[in-house]
Amino acid sequence: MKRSLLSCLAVSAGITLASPAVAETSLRVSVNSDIRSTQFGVNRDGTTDTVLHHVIEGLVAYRDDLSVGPLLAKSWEVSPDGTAYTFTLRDGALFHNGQPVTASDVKWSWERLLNPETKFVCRNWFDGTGGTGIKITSIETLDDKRVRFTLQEPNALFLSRMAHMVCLSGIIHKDTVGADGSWNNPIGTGPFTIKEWRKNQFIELAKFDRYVPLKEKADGYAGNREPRVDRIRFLVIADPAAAKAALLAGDIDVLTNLDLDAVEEVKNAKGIRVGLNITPGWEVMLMQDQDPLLKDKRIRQAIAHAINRDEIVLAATAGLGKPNPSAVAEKSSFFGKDFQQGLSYSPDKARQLLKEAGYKGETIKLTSNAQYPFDNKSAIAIQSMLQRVGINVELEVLDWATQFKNYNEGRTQLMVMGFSARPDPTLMYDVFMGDRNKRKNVYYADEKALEALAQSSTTADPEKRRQIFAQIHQRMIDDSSVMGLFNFVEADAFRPERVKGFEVWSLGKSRFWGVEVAK
Amino acid sequence: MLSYSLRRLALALPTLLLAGILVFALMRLVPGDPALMFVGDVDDPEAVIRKRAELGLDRSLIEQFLLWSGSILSGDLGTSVKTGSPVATEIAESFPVTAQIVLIATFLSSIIAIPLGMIAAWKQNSSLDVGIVGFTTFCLSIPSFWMAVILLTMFGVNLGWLPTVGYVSMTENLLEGALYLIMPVTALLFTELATLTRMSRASTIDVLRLDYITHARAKGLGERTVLWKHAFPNAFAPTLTVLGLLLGHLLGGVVVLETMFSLPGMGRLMIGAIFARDYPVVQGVLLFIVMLYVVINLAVDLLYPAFDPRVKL
Repeated sequence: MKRSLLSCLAVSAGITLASPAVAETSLRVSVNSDIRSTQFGVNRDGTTDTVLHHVIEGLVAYRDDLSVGPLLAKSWEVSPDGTAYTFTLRDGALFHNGQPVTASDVKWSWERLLNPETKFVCRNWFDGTGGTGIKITSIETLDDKRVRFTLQEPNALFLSRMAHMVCLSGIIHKDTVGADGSWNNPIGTGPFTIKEWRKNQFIELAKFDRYVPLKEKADGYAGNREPRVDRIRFLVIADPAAAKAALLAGDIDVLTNLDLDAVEEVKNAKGIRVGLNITPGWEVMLMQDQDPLLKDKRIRQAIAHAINRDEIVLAATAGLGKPNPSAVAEKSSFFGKDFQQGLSYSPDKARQLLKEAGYKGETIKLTSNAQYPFDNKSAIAIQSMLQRVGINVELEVLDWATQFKNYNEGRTQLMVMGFSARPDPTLMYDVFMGDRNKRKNVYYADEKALEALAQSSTTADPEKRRQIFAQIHQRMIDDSSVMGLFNFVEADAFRPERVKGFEVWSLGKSRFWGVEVAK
Repeated sequence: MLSYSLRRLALALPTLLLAGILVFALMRLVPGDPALMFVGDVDDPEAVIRKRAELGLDRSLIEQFLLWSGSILSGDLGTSVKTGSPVATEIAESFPVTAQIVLIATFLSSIIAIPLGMIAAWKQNSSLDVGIVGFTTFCLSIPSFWMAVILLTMFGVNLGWLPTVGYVSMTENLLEGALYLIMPVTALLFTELATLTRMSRASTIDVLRLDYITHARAKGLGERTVLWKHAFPNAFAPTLTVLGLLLGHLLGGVVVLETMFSLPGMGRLMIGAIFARDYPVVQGVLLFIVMLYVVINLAVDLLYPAFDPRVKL
């Protein structure tokens, strides 16, 4: 048994280290960046969301099958006209300060989020100005445990938006915000509380002993969130090789977002298991149809025919990802054969289309970045595939901030881009479809497809929505401005002899409620 | 000496102003938008516009510069876009981490490298000299990230002697803090050793050629006395200059090592800020680094007369 010098020294010097007392269980998890703040939905990024979902809860949450399930609300009813949603709160739900959660807390929390002064970055999802047009007109408390949200018009996406993990619409106690509007340590309703945050080092959560979980079993982010470990320490390890070393050395129990190239090696290491998961995150190649050369649909189609998705998956994800030409994720209930179709891989067809379009070897710039391996590896593979059919491609590798600005301003010819997970297809289409007069990062603006997209957010019937998505997909393939490549794959590695009950799920964000640590 | 110091510090003001303008302009020449990076993957052009206004990025560049330099003059380095905390606090939290590693590594490498270089010079062209030069060239050729991975794998994973991740300040717990610093300090030591040994060797060779050394030897003084009492003070002066520059350079942040050993130092603060286009942090840290250079070089210059009597301040 290896014993770290640290513990030897500590014992010999008779000093107590920062490690917890004997009876306490503690889980050490690596994250690749620090959280940005504890102000969910105001100053956030992916890591911030992952950590704060253990502390703060919204009314509803995503299940593993990407449908919406209960969390702080145990149930809800929708009025026959589809405009009023009445939520009933979970029995026994308490805030971290011991106060019971009431309908008025929900009303206060939501009105705070919708207040422009809060600077909630997703306010436009709910105030009628965003792409999906959801507008909350009133929030009323019916009694202590029931609260009613009224929308201006019925919208199929209201619960999806509410459950969205990016903009956690959490319910917090009023004391979280000081009289002067200052932000304190958040008093939420989640299974853990924030114990200590050392910037750029770690954030430690402590079990909330009085947490009363839902009876419904844990499913994705929804259902039973019973905490089973006393402490979780999220350690910031920016470098993938260092994170791997920490896992192998036993200094961490769970490594989130393992480098895909290291999966084989880590899988074969003793006492380590790797959980792989295809998420709805979607890698695409954008072809700017406003570009003088690429406005010719035949050239865009030629490019699409020249690209072999299977090879890209091999190159970019070590073969672990899943090709997907459509914005509908494989785990989505809407997924089916219709969405597996894309323009076939056919270099001959590509050459023929190029000839018809009169392509004379003009240089086409393909943009990617050095920060996200999916993007860069895909771009390198695409460049060589396009060169094989005679397209002259210049690869431009930018830093992410520069590429993101170009993307947002539509300044590109070809660009490889990853869209983070949006569980509902409407939300994914909404990322790159829209009105070109309103925003510049619209890459597909076919009128008929836009009409269909608008319909998809107001249609409640799942089968009808599925047909609408299939229709959008067919038009999108033909247009070839946005070419779907594959769904992201995420790998988490952990030590199964110590960590029990840890599982990956479809949205990829690691969850540590229900997880036990062997003493 | 006091008036000299004051004069030097006063002369630093134009340097700081120039650095300020440069830093401000360079950051804005780099494409990218802090507001866009802040809002991230939430698709709302309005939110970006609102954030730009909040950060004052919708004003003209001149206005932005005047506002920034005004607040600098009143002692306020601004607020980080990414975290919302004051830049001064971020520097105050991260600088001591970097300083600890750099100062310890520099001190250790000086006491090893300077005698090593002098011995190599003294035994110039002998196999000892070749050995020392060869060793330092080897050290210089090792990329620090590779060194870090090797250390992590060897002492962290295989032997399990040292913690692979974490940081404890030595002011909090001396022993535990020291343990977390062993690997980063070792990695840094290797790169510094090379530079300093070679500098010390070169300047000692120059000094040993001078007449006064021959004179000292002719007087019948022992080699040890010649080397330490006569050659060392003169040979050390150029090394001191290099040491000062090296220190300024390293105190600005050792990005690779801080990243590999997960240390919350200033290098990581800076690189994170550059990626996020966090203008106030990048500008604040750069100005701080310029100040560091000024102070360290002043200290070096003040130390000069102690070693080289020809220099008068």
